[in-house]
Amino acid sequence: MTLAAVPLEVFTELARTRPLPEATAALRAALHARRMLLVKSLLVRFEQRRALLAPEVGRRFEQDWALLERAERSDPAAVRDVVDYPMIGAWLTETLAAPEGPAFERHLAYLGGVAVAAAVRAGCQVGGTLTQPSGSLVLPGLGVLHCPSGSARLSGRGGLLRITDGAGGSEVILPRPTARGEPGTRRPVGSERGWSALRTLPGSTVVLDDLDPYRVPRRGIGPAALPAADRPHSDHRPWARRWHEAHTLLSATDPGRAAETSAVLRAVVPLVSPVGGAGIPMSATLRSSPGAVLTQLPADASELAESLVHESHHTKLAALHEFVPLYRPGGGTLHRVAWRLDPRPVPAVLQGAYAHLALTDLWWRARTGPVTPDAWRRKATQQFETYREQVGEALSILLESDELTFAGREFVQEMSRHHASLGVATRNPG
Amino acid sequence: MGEQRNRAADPGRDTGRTVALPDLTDVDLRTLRAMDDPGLIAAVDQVLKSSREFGQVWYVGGEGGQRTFPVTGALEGEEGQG
Repeated sequence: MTLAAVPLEVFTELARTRPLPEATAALRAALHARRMLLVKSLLVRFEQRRALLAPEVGRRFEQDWALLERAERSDPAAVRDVVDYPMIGAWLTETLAAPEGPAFERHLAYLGGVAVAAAVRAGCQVGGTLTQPSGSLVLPGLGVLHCPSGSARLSGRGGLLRITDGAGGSEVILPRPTARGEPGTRRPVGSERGWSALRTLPGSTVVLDDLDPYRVPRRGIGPAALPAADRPHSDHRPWARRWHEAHTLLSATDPGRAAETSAVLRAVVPLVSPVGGAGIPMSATLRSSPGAVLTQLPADASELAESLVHESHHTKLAALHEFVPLYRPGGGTLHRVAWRLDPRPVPAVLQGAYAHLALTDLWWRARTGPVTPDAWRRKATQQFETYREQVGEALSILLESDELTFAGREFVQEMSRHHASLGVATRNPG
Repeated sequence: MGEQRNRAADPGRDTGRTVALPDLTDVDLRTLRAMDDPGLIAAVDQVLKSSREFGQVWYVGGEGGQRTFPVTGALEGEEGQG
C-alpha cells in the first residue's frame, strides 16, 4: 500500500493517535498482508531447503499445509483470524531466522498446531495422527494438549474435533466457536484430560496467553531478561480483575480509546513479576507479534490502562510502517530522549514519541473529563505536563530529521499539530 | 488496498525499489503458495535476508523504572536490532 491508498482521514487520525474504526480496519488489513508475506517466505524457504530436510519433516509439513488450506476453504475468515494471531508472527519470524538443520525442522512442527486450530475454528472434518515429539500440541489462540506419547489422534465432524494423545493419556473435544469474533473454544465438550485452555479477559475477545511457546523471545524482555510467566504463576483471576478495572477506567475517560484497545489487541502475555519488585511494570511489544501486550501484572488498574494504551500504539505504528514506510533504513543518527538514558536512533525516537503522545492525549482527557475518578484525575494532572514537554522535545528531533520519508514527515507534522492542541484550555482536542 | 512497495537499501529514496508487491490482503493460502509474481518474490527475498531485523522489542518500565525521566532513568526503546 502506498500513502496515496490511505484515506487522508485515516492517516490523520492515526498520526493524532486518536481511535477511528476505519483506521483499525486498515491496520488489521495491513497486518494480514504482512503476515501473508511471512507465510509466503516460509513456503519459499521450505521449498528451497526441502531436499535437505528429513523426509518425514517434509511429509508432515505438506500434511499440515493441506489441512490449513482445507480449513480455509470451509471458513476463510476463521482461518484468517488464526493466521493473524500475534504469536504466529513470532513463530514465523523465528522460523525464518533459524539456522538450517534440526532447529529449522523443530520450528516447522508448530504448523501442525496452527492447522488444527484452523480446523477447529472452521469446523471442518479432520482425521489422522499428528506426531508431536515435543510432548505437547499447541493450538495457537486456543490452548495446549499434553501429549506424553509424542503423538495425537484427530477425529472431527459436525463442528466437534476430538484430539486424543496417542496412548490415550489425554483428550479434549473442542467445539467450533459459534460466533464470528469469538476467539476460540474456551469450553471443551465433556471432561477433558491434559488440556490447558487459554482464557479470555472480561468483556473482550482478548486472551491471556500464558501457554504459547513463542509468546516471549528466548532471551527474555529488557535488561533483566524477564521471561514469560507460566501457569500456575499466571493466575487468571487478578489479570481478569485488573483488565475489567482498566477498561472501566478507559471507558470513563475515553470510550473510543477503550474500544480501540480491545480491537487492536488480541492477547495479553504475562511476564514474571519478581517478589517485591518496585517501579512500574515492565511492558513490551514485539515487532514480530503486533497485537500482543507483554506485561508484568500491574499494581492497579491505572497502570494496566496506561500499559494498554502505550503498547497498543507500538502495534499501530508498527503496522502502519509495514505498508507505508515512515523512515528509511540504515540511518545512523542517534538522539537523546527523555524516556531513555542512552541515545536512540530515529525509528526508536518515533516509536517512543508516538506511544507517549497517546498517553499525553489520555492524560489530557483524564484530567478534563467529567466522569473520571479523582485519583485518576490527580495522576493525570501530575503526568500531563511532563509528558507534553518530553514528547515535544522528541517531536522537535523528528521534525528536523532527514531520515523520515515523505509520509513520515507528514505523519510527524500531524503528530505535532495534535500535540500543540493538547493543553489548550479553550479547545476540545477532538 | 493498493500496492505495497518494498523498502529500499538506498537511503536516498523514499519508497524503495520500483518492483511493486501485489496486494496480499485477500489472497487465499492455495493461491499464495502458487504465486510467483516478481514483486512478491523480491519481497520474500528481502524478508529472508533481513528476518532477524524483525526481532525488535519495544519495552518500558521494570525494576525501579518509570515511563519518563526528567534527568536520569532508563528503559524505553527498542532492542535486538538483529
